[in-house]
Amino acid sequence: MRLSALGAVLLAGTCAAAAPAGACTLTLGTGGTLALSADGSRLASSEAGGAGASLTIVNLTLGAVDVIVSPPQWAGYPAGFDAGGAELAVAYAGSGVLGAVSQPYTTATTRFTVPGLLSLAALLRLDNRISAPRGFASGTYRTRTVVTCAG
Amino acid sequence: MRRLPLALLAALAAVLPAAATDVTFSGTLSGVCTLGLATPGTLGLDTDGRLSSAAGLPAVLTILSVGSNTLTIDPPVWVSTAPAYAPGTETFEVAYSGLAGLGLADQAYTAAPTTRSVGTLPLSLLTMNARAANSLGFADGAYAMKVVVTCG
Repeated sequence: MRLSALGAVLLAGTCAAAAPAGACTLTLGTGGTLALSADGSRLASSEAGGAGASLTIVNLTLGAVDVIVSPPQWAGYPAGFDAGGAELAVAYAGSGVLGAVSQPYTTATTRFTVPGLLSLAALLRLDNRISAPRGFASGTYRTRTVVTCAG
Repeated sequence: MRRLPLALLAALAAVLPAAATDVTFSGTLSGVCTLGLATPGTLGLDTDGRLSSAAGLPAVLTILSVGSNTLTIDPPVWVSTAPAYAPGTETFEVAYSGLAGLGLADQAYTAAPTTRSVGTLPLSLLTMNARAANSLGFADGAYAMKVVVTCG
């Protein structure tokens, strides 16, 4: 009975993610929203008015898998903005079986381990931050963080 | 197939590809200009008999600008005067200078409204002095004046 239930979860996860049927699937719940800090030097999902992204991780393997979080990349910024003087960083925190996972803002690639079988639907909240000491021009800013699950 | 052998499940997992997803973030900024009063000024009597923050303490404003905005600074006006104050010929003047990231040209004392174009600025400071002269002088008591600053 327990294994039948596992199969059902795997099917649902695969459909939602439209990703290869893998031992580990990642499903993006919501994208993040960036908001300006009070001092105007940061645009981040962790600022008041912003919202972090949510990601569901499903690991159906018997063993643990590694989830790799790469540093954010630019997906777009307005003309006139000095992107060269800006720094992108990512932070995340897990819940459920990933409750011990907590990464403060970093510009480096990081990874954490998801335990096997127990991790049917572990939630991860991700934040992105753009630091620009010289401020921001008007327009739309977009960043992208690639999260990879390596079995 | 009531029970799938665990070994088979593990073997399936071993050959399946890794999953990856892009997590996207976005935000739009337009027409942002905020002003804040970091420190209110205090007035004192200067050596020429004027009520002036140069004889007390200057006011300090914070300015945050995204994109292009216009900063307008009006000359001071009375908020309140001492009960026995008698207005004669009055002159109100304001002066300011930019600090930190605010690269504004200094403005010497002026009785006219002034404007400055400001571009993208993180939180920056503007130090401001105000003063009033009165041909009949100043009676004892409390005085308050204000300088209206707008940004947009």
